[in-house]
Amino acid sequence: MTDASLAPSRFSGTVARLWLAASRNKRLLLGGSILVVIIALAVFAPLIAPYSPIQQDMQARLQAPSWAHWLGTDHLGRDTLSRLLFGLRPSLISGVAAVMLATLFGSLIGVAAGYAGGVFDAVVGRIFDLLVAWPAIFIAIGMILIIGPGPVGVVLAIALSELPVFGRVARAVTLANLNMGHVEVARSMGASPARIMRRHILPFTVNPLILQFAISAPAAVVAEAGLSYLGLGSQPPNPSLGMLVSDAQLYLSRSAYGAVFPIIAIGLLVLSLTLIADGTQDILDPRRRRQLR
Amino acid sequence: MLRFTLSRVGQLILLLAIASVVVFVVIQNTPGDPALMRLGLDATPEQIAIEQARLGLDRSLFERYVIWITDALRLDLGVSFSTGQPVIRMLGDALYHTIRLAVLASLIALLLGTTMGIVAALNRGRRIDAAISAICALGLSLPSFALGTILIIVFAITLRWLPPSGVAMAGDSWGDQLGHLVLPAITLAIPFAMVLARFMRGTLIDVLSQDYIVTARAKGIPMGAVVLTHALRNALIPTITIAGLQIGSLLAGATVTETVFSYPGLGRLTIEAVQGLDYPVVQAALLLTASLFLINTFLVDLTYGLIDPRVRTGVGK
Amino acid sequence: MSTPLIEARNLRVAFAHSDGEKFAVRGISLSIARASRVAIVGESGSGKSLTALALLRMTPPGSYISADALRFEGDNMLALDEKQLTAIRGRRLAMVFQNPMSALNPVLTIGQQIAEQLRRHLGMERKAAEARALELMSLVEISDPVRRFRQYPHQLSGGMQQRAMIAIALACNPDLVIADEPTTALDVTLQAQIMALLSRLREELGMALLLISHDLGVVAETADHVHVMYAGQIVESAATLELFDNPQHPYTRALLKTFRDLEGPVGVELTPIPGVPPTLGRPIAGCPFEPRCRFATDRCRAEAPALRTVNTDHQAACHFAGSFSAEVSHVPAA
Repeated sequence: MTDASLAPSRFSGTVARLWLAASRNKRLLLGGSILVVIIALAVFAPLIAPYSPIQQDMQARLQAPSWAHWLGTDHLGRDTLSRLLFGLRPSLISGVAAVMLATLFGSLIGVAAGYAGGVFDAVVGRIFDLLVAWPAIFIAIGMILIIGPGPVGVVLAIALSELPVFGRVARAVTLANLNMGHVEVARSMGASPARIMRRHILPFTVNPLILQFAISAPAAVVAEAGLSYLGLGSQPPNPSLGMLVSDAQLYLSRSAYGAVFPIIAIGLLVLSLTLIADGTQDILDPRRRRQLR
Repeated sequence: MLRFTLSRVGQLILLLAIASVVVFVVIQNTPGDPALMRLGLDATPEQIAIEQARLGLDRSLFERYVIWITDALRLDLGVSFSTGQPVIRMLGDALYHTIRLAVLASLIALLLGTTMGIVAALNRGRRIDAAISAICALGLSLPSFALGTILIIVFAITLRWLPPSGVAMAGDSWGDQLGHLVLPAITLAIPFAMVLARFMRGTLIDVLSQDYIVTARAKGIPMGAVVLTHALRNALIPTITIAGLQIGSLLAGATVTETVFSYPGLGRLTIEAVQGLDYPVVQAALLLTASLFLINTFLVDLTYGLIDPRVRTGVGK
Repeated sequence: MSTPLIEARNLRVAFAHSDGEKFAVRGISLSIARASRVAIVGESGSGKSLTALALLRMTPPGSYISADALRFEGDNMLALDEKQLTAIRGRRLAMVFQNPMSALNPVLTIGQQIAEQLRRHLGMERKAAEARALELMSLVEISDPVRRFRQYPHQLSGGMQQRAMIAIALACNPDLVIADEPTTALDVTLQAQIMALLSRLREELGMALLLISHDLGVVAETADHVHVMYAGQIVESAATLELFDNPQHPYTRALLKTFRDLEGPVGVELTPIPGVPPTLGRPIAGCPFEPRCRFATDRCRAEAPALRTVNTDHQAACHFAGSFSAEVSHVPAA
């Protein structure tokens, strides 16, 4: 879909054009719709959840879905649906928070490294290599050992493991722009490094960073779920999707429902994020746009 | 080529050193007595005092690090808090199991992933391509613990074809041993295969649009041979690199998968040690996994240098 | 007169497009006799490369070929299946491409790429193929062939890469070699060497040569007969000397003028041809060159000129063909 074939519109400007392209992209629409629903469920959990997520009822343990408990109950008689709704929160919040931190710090460091060059750049590069060498799980373990389990550690760990990618993207954009005329012109007019970075480099990082954000988001959510599964995330009795699965796993032979529903929830969440990432790539990645004819 | 190798080896050693420092620092910041860590919980106060002196707990951080790292290089990693066993032995057992799992998973993933990728690329734009892309998206949507749990529900509990967990005893039959490996291997293999398939597809499509493919066809080489002899050779080079790197991430994925299946590999050992605050094991396991990772990356780098003739013979004339 | 190697009548190449078909080659006819030297001259976008690919039935995906006749040594190319085509390509009909660096497979050695032809088409054993490949490499004047045999394309200079491409084309002693802009990617000194090599080899081996080029100088030295293409059509066709002496199509005349300006004394202003060639698209009602032609009339806009004979073996597609004066000055000797 070339720009020329988009319907002429009242709006001008890049944002409007992108918005128009976005609203026609099937993947974005599908992914976006699912995500919006999930977010709504998480936000309004206190209002829609039929029970408290931590209320136990030993008479009603490990029940299959019924009218009283739409998704059944877990081994302590807690309502699965309520726990699921509240469990969406850590996945969304931790995942998003982690990637936002990674974007923010990664890009700042990346731009600085690209701009400064020399030793600083080399050192940063090695640190990034190291961070990339360690998967989120091990960084999380290290983090947990120092500050104890819980959502904070998880967010920091995931942020650290995603940081290098953002750093590299930002650095690449910086290097590409440094060699271009507009930076030299600015320098010759006496602009300070900070001003150059802000006005001449940062704007070019926006598109690639948004793209990378979209691509990293599903990975972050998957990492959070995995860490929660291992017991390193939100601590009981606060529910998280990963924890729901690990709790249910001990009782799989008696009731598989406890595991199936959170798995479906995670799957939908990650799928929606992946669709959004693909759709964003269709729109923003210059190579992809050409392929779309 | 030689210079290439040497510089990479140098980098590897540097990164290993930094990794060991990081692990050391992390552990130093955890509550616990390092002397106790080395001797185990059964040590007497006198032994502890001697060990504390030996470890030089009154000395600088750097000196303590040196002592620790030299111990580690002699494979003296202390004794576990939980089991009282020497850590090195526990690591060895766990590593053996993880390697078996990783090998099987890699084989499955390589076969599945490359085949899917090739089929998708050759049928670009047709339904089978879209189907494969959809499968890839789905396969990557599920975190490994979710996938593993589903596999358990389907194959172990509902169908009762395979055991849900654990590992066979040393004397058991091949069938039993394989049976325990299959589900975790598949769980590990699937995300790997999906990434590989996507990458293979993209690379092969790229390669097929190159000029030399036109030349090959103009030479009267039938399409099948063009793909096999000319296209794949080019497409496999970056793909092998990606596959190699993915094998490194198998170690990470293995942690969760091993927990799901209660498989006694390195990952599960680490998690249990963390949960049980068994610091000697945690420290050693972290160091080992970091090293394996870095060595893997190094080997992949080296392999790329060997299989791409342009790098091997030096670029330019 | 024996069967011509190539006989094409009303050859068309079109691309399917959402707005309908777009024609890149609009019905050209030519024939190439055994051991002859023919050239197709035109600017980029004239459809000359596509014509060459059409002869091999290798036009890009999304395109299709149609013709009243397309024969190679009497065989109807349009009726052959892929298996039969692969038997012809590389064996009886070979092609040398424009950019040797990208046209050679970067991960196979030069020797492998040459020997491949010998083993596949001629069924030679590995040792025999290797020996013959080395012979071929000497034939195309690649120095130190034994060492070069095991080298990869990126280790060779541009000129040597092109020689390797020629060796690959000649490996099975084809009846026709199509050279698509073989020297465009090379520098000028190399151009002369490679063209000389091609000429010499053609004489020694007796095959026909179809040269595709935009460079009149190269064409003048290497071809006996020239077809001038414009906007997917042949607008003039004549023996080389006749074309240079007596061009009867305004486009050819303009091209020659530009060429002579370039070759002429310094200081003379260059005379570019105003305007741009028509884009790929719908059939054109009148003469395709009309918008840029000094002599254009209303008739030219309305009625497409057919090829008309102006001399022995000389046709031009212009309503005024035959009425242009012969050129007085000649192409300066190289």
